[in-house]
Amino acid sequence: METKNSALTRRRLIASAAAVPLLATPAIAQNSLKGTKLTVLVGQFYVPETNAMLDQLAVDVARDTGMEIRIERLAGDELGTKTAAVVGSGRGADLSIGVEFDTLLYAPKLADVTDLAEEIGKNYGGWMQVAKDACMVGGRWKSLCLGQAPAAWNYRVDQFAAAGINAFPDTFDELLKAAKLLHAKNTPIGMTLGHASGDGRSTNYPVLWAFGGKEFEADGKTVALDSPQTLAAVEWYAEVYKYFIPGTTAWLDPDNNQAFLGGKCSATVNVNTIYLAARAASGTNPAMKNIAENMNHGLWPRGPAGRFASYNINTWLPFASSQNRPGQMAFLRAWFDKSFLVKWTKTGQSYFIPTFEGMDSLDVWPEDPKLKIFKDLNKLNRLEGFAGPPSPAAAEAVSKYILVDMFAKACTGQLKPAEAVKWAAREYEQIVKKRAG
Amino acid sequence: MLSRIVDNERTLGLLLVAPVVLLLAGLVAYPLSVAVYSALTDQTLAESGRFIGFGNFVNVWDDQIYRQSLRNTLVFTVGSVTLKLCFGLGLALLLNEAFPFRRLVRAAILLPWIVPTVLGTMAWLWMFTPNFSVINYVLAQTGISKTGLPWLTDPDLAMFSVIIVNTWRGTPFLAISVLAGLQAIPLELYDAAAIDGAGKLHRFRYVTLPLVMPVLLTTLVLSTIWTFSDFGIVYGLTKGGPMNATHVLATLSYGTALSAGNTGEGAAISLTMLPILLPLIIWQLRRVRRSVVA
Amino acid sequence: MIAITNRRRTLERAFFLYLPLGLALFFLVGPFYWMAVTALKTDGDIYDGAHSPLYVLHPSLDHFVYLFAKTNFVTWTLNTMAVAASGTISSLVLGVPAGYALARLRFPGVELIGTAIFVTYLVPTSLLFIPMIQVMANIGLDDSIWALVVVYPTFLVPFVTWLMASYFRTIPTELEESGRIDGLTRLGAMWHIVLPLARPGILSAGIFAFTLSWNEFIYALTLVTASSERTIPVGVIVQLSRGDFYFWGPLMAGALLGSVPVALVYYFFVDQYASGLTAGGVKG
Repeated sequence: METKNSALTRRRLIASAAAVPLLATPAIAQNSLKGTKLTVLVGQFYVPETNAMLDQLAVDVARDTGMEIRIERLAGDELGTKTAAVVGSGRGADLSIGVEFDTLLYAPKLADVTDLAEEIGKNYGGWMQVAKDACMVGGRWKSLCLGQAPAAWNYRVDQFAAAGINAFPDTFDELLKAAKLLHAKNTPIGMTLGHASGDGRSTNYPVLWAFGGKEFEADGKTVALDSPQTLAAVEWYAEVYKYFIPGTTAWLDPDNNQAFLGGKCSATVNVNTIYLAARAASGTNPAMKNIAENMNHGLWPRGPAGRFASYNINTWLPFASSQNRPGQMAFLRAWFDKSFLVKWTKTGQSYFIPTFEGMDSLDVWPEDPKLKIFKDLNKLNRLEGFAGPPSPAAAEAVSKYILVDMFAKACTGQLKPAEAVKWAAREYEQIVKKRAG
Repeated sequence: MLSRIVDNERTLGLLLVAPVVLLLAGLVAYPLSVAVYSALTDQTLAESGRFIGFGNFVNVWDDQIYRQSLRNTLVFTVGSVTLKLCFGLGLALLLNEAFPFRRLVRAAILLPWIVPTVLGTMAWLWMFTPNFSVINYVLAQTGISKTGLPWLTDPDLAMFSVIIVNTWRGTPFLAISVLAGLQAIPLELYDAAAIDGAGKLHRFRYVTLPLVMPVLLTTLVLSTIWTFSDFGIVYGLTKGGPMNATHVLATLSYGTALSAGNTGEGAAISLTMLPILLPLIIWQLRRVRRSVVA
Repeated sequence: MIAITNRRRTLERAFFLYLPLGLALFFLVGPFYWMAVTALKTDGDIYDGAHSPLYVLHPSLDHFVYLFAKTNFVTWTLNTMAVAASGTISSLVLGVPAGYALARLRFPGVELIGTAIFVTYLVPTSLLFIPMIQVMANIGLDDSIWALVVVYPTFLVPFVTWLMASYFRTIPTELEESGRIDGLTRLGAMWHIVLPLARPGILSAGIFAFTLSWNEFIYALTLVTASSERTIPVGVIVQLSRGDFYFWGPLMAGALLGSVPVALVYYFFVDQYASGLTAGGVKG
């Protein structure tokens, strides 16, 4: 019943889209998609049903338009490599899913989708700032924000209670005190200090921002890292690290999930995949059932400068090299059609949340009380490079793990906190200098 | 007539190498020159960039992370190749002896070389992984170390760990190559040496070693090149961490070119390997040809 | 007397042969035991801290079944075998004669050519793959497994050429010269005298070339898009990571299935060394 309806709406939508002149190309009748081909590179979304929905969407659009659609799924870092290969060679795909800085870095090789972005934004109460930051280059939309994966504090309510802590800490001082208490009970917390491409960001930038530190001035070119605020953040980190679970300097993205689900770690920063995995295995695995029942999610603590978070963002990248622009548009329209996106988001259990201002009023939020917090988390994200706009320099700093290593060097005692800040600031200066020269 | 022409050393030589030269010129010459040229530009993945001479090389040399990666690459290469040489040569000598199930053993020791690098590295990651390391479990059970060792967590030990994995992976290649070389040594030479009253060590030093030397050197040079540009093991185990302690030129170049999109600079980082490796190759070629020229 | 010598011999063999061999096997093959143990465990038991991780409590073939039922593992295996076999054969056909020429013959430009062949080997794939996609597109092979058939020889041939050049050097020139005196042409001497003697070298070069293509990752990832045309390393990694989790069970099952069958095939080759040499009148 429902599927039939959504298929109908979609067909109507595509039909109506065909009546309106499509973006960069002159009026294209729907029929003209017949016999064309579209290759779409996607990753593996954590919730299996959301992958199946994407595949079904491709089948539906193909049926409605007569276009041949190939969905090619590549998980993890390999999607990034493959996307870079398409950008560099102009071959291999028409659409791909990218991450936060890809739009900025690949802009000359991406199609302008401003008209479509504005049209879609209107349907959902406008795009959030973070979507504009990630997808607009020089005032034009060069990609469409697919969504963000909010990272929360995952913590064991039972272990916190056993250590005498009854709510997730609201300030960094309280978090430090909690870490001490939990360490004393042999149930330590941990955040990654290793070269983890996703978690390395989501667990380290928020600390810097909360203490008022920033990488750049608002001009995006003047390095502002070496400040008393940054130093305070590093000193806090070096202190709390003493009570961490051993091994965090080697943690890659999956390690905190593994430690938490293995019952070795009482709190960590992660998207909701830890909880979803535990909940899914509850039926067959008593250990997982125990974790799912005894864990919850918390917000980042508030620092002197406020409460911030850093998430992985995904974007739809429309390659300018594509021979099938109308096909790209048809697929993206179908993706952002409410009949699809609302259901897809709800099925995804707040793992990936589209970045629109109007999300709150839509039926996309999971019923599970332990996932309620993601509605608030969805509003906290900020892109790296703050207080400047997103820039290639900020992207390079991310790729070199400079901030992660600044904290790690101070935590492990390789450098004193002040020296670690100086080291990182020098790396930033270097990145900026070579771009100016 | 034709056979006479073909029998000419110069003609035959050129004829035999021609297909290889054509293949490489046809397929590799263009990508190679594009890559080399890009090192001289500020090219990114999306923009062709402008010519900046040796600007990239100056920039990377100024970067502490580059220097650390260069140092790491040398430690990683020297460490791994030395271990592979010792283990590989020793293993080849052992495998040349007669013992039960020799064929099975010879095939089995090839396993680390056969298993796809990414997957073999995953297995080691699973053995080293903080908090769940099976090696640490064994160390704790046997009472050797109660807490286990921070295999990937401690900067120095992390370098040791990536060297061990590279050695694991590369030793079979060295061992089997040298074994093939050992098999070609005519037994008569050993018999003659035995008659002369040479002991085992003496025979190794004066018969075995000189005769396998060409093979040994070539496999060493190949192994050095692979180790120098090895990407998969470091990327799989640490992504260059902790604190760049295991970052090598290959991982740095990859991150620079593909994650940050600075393909020109990434190419420059890769090409700084050339001046270190090229002399090695020229020296090696001269050695291989020495008998011809002499 | 004899008994004492025998015991001494046994001790010597135990200490100088079996002990080091045992240690080497433990280091090289031990990790495969761990892969097997992990692959045979259920997901719940993989993280079970209550029992020793070194053996399997509830053996299960689920992870293997998953690979065959839920992924294209069989297709990936066939792809990998096809690409590796074609790469090996073409690189031997081209590389063995070239290696002979480099090691044995005097002709103009030999040193330059030899160096040039090897220099192509020095530039890492991560630099070459983007322009290589364009080259493949120009000859109409982009986004097809045929691209790998064409590209793999570009790194296999230099490898085989160099390895063979060094093997040819271990074969005494006198044998060849006596053949020439008996009226063989250079080509005839190479074919009838040198190549049979170089058989262990050719076999091991073949084994290595096969394995290098078996393992190749970057070209296999970037030159081919379709999931039905992937190879084992790319397929397993790309299909088995989801979100930020390690799927140790299927990953280790994939690692085993991606290596043990090849080792079994090599089992029938590794002792060819000896027989090949006996035929040539030299014993191994």
